Amino acid sequence: MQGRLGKTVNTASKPGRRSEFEALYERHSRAVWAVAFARWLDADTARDVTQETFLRLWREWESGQEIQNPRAWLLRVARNLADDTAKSSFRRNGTAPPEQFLGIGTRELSPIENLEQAERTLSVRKILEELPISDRDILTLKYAMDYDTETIAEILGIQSSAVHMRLSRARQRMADRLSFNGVDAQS
Amino acid sequence: MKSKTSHPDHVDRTFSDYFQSQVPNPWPECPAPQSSVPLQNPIHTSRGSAWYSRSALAFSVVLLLGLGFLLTSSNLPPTPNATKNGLTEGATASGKNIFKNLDPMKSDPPSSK
Repeated sequence: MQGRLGKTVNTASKPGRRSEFEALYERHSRAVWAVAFARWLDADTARDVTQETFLRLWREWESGQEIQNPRAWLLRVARNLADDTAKSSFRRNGTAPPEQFLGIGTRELSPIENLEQAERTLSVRKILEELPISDRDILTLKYAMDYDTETIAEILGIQSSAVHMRLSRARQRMADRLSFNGVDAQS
Repeated sequence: MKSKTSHPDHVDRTFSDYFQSQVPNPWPECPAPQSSVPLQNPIHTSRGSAWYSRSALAFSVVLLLGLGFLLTSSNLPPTPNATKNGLTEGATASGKNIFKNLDPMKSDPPSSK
């Protein structure tokens, strides 16, 4: 492995693979989770996709495959897995992915607070569903992972200016929709 | 890596509240890659078992052929009066000689016409 991005990864049979695997997980799992979450807007599915993505990386090592750019490989596999998960869910349910796991807060809330938060979360989610996945990628990396613009641009392989532009567009769209829906974000 | 800037406007706060509520806490641990290793073991086992089975089969066939060859060619003592056609000297191939020691109740010599 070389440098920050880990340019060279060899087979799983070599010594130290496990520690290298854990280092890659520590370094890239949040970005992998983010791109999976951006497709489903579902935390549990994104977690499952992340775990499966890294297990597939290990299997690639076991089969002797050499991965030159682990992060690019991981993000590509995560996107494909998330897409496949969405398709299989559609075939199984005949509907859109289930709208569960709406992110109702983990701390103790009163029933009214719970209801308000669930309503607010659902409203934000519906607005996010109308955005392109590429914009949701950026929003997830920005607001869920708290990455700065340069890091987001590096992860997604785009220019920082493009990140700025899409963020501004998504913010404006959200502001319009929030005012249209009458959602009070301050509450 | 991470920006620590605050998000002053309500849109940023809305986004932050939503996405932060979705992030797993605590973050999931690194998956155990051992879970994929057992998938490889049966392959190695079956390969070894197949090789062993084939070897045992080949050895058995060779052993069977060898024993058969030994029994038919070398272990039978030669008949003292054997001739090239397999009959002992003085013997005739008539039907009477062939069937003379057989049970007369069960079989009769074919009548020669």
